[in-house]
Amino acid sequence: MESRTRRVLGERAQKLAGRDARSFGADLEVVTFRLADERYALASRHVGEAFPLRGLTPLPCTPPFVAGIVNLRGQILSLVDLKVFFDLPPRKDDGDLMVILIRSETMEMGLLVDPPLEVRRLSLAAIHPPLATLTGVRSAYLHGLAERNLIVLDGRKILEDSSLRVMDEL
Amino acid sequence: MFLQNVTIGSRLKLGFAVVVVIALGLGIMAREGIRRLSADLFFIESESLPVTRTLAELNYRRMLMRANSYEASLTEHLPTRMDDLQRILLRRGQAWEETDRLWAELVEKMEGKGRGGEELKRLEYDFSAWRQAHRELDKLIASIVASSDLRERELLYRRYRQGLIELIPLSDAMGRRFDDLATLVVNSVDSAIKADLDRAEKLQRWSLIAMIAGVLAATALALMITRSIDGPLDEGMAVLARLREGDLTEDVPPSLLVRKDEIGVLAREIQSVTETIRRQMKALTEIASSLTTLAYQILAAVAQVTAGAEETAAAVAETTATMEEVRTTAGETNSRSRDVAEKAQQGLQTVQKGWAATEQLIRSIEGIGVQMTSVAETIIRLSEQSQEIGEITETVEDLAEQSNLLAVNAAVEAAKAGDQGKGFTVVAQEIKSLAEQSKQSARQVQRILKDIQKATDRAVMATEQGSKAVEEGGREALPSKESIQAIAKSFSEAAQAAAQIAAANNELLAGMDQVTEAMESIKEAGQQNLSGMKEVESATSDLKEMGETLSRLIGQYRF
Repeated sequence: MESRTRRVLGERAQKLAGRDARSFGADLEVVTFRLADERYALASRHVGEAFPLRGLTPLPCTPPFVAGIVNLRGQILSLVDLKVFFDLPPRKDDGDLMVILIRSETMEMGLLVDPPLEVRRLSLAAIHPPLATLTGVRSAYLHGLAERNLIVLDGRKILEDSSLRVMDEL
Repeated sequence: MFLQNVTIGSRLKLGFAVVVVIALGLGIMAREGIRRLSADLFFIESESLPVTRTLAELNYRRMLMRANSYEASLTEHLPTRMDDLQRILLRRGQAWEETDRLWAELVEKMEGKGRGGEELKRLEYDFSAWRQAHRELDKLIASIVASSDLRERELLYRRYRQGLIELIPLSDAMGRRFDDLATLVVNSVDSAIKADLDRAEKLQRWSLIAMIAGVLAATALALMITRSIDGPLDEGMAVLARLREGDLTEDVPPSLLVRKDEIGVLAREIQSVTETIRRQMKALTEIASSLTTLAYQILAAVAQVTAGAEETAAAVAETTATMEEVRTTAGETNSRSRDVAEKAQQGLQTVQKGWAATEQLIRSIEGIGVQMTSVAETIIRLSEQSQEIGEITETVEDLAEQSNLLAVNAAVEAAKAGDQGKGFTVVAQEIKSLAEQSKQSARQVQRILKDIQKATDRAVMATEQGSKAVEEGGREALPSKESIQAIAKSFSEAAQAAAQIAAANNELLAGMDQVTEAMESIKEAGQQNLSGMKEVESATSDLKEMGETLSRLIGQYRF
C-alpha cells in the first residue's frame, strides 16, 4: 500500500516535471498574493523570500506608504505598504500580513501584502497587455493581466522607481 | 217684424184661436139654422100632416056614409031588403064608431090652434048638423026594419028619401069645410117650408163666406208663422251643419242671438254649446298631447320597472343560490357541532386519562431532574475537551501556514537554482498542497469544534433551563390538576355549547327553508310583476295609440 502510494506520487512528480520542462521557455514563474480584494502576481525571479510580518517598527517622518522597518535575521529591511501606495482600502483585520522580499543588484525592499501566497506558472502568451482605461499609480508598475483578473506587476519597475526612494534628509 | 218678439207657442195659439173662432161662428150659424128647420119639420110631421090625414079620413067616411045611405034607399023593392038593411045598419054602426073616433081625434088636434081653432068651430057646427041628419036616417032604417006594415014602410021610405035629400047639402057643406081646412093646413105648411128654404139658402151663403174667410185668414196666419220660424231655423241649421263638419270657428249670427223667442233661446244655447265645445276641444287637445306624453313616460317607466324586475329576478336567483350554500354550510355546521359535542365528550375522557398521566408525569419529572444534572456535567466536560482540541487545531493551522510559506520560499529558491532546482520545485509544490490540505483539515476541525462549542453551549443552557423547567414542572404539575378539572368543565361546557349550536342550526335551517319559500314567492311575484308589466306595456301602447287617435280626431276640428 505504502509502496503503491509512493509509486503514484513518483509518477505524478515525473509527470509534473516533464510538463514544466517542456514549456519552460514560454513560461513565467510568479508568486501570487492579495491586496485587499484584488489578486496580484510578481515574477519570482525578483523575489528573495517571503515571511510573516513580525515585530514591525514604524518610522517617523516618512511618506504614508512606508510601513516601517523589520529585523530580518539581523538585517534591517524597509517595508512598503502596497495598498497605501496603490490607494487601495486597508484590510479589515490587520493581522496575518505577509512580507515579500524583492531585490535587485542595487535595491532590496519588503512589500507588505495579504495572504495567501502561492507560486504559479503563467504562460507568457496568456498575459495580456494592460488596459488603456487603467490609470493611476498602478499603471506605471503593470506588466499585464492574466486569466481570472490576476494583475501581474513588473518587479523591476517597482525596484527602480525613484518615487519609492526615501531621502533621509528631513 | 212684430212676430219676432212673440213666442212660437203664442203664434201657434193665435193662429189656432183665429181658426177656432171662425169654426165656432160657422158651427153656431149652422146649428141655429138646422134647429129651426128641424122644429118646422117636426111641426109639419106632428101637427099638419095628421090633421090633413084625419080630414081626408073623415071626408072618406062622409062619402062612405053618403053611399051607404043611398044604398039603403034602394032596398024598398028588393025582396032581400030586410037582410040588406040589417047588414047596412050593422055596417053603419061600425062606421059611426070609427067616424066619431076620428072626429074626436081631429078636435083634439085642432083645438085652440089659431086659425085652425076658428075653422074647427065652424066645422063643428056643420059636423053636428050632418051627424044629426044621419042619426035620423039610422032611426028611420031601424024603424023600417022593425015595421011590418007595408004602408008604414012606404011612408018610412018616403021620409027616408026626404031625409036623404035634405042630407046632401049638409054633406056637401061639410065637404067644402074639409077642403077649406085642408087648404089652410097645406098653405101653412107650404109657407113654413118656403121660409125654411129661404133660411137654408141664407145659411148656406153665409157659411160659404165665413168658410172662405176663415180659410184665407188661417192660410195667411200659417204662412206668416211658418216664415217667421223657417228663416231663422235655416240659419241655425247652417250653424249646426258647420258644427257637424267640425267647424267651430264661426259664431251664431247676432241677429239670431237677440231674438226673444224660442229660436233666440235655441241660438243662444247653440252659441254656448259651440263655446263649450271649443273650450273642451282646447282642453282635449292638451289632454291628448299630455296623454301621449304620459303614455311615453309610462312606457319608459315600465321599461325601467321591467329591467328592475329582471334584476330582482337575478338577485333572487343569486339569493336562492346563496341560501342553498348557507343551508349546506348550516348542515355541515350541524354535523360539525355534533362532532364537537362528541369530541368534547372524548376530550373529557382524555382529560381524565390526562390526570392520571399527570401524576405519572410528576414522578417522571423528578427522575428527569436527576438525569439532567448528570447530563449537564457531561456536557460541561465535553465543552472543555473540545476547547482543548481547538487549541491543538490552531497549532496545526499555524504549522500548515508556516509549511505553505516554506513551500513558497522553497519554490522561489528552486527557481533561482534554475534547471537543477526543478525537482525541488515539484517537492515544494507537494509540500504546499499538503500544507493546504492540513490547513483545510484544521479549519474543518475548527468549524466542527465551533459547532460543537455552540451545541454544547446550547446544551448547557438547555440543561440549565431543563433543570429549572423540571423544578418548575414539579411545582406546576400540582396546579395542573386544577387546570385539568377546569379543562374538563370547559369540555362539558363546550359539549353543551355544541348542542345549543346544533339546535340553533336546526332553527337556522328551518328559517332558511322559510326564506327559500319566501324567495320562491318573491320570484313568482317578480314573474307575475314582469308579466303584469308586459300587460301594462301593451296597455300603455294601446293608450298611446288612443292618445294619437284622439289627437287625430281633435285635429279634424277647427276652433
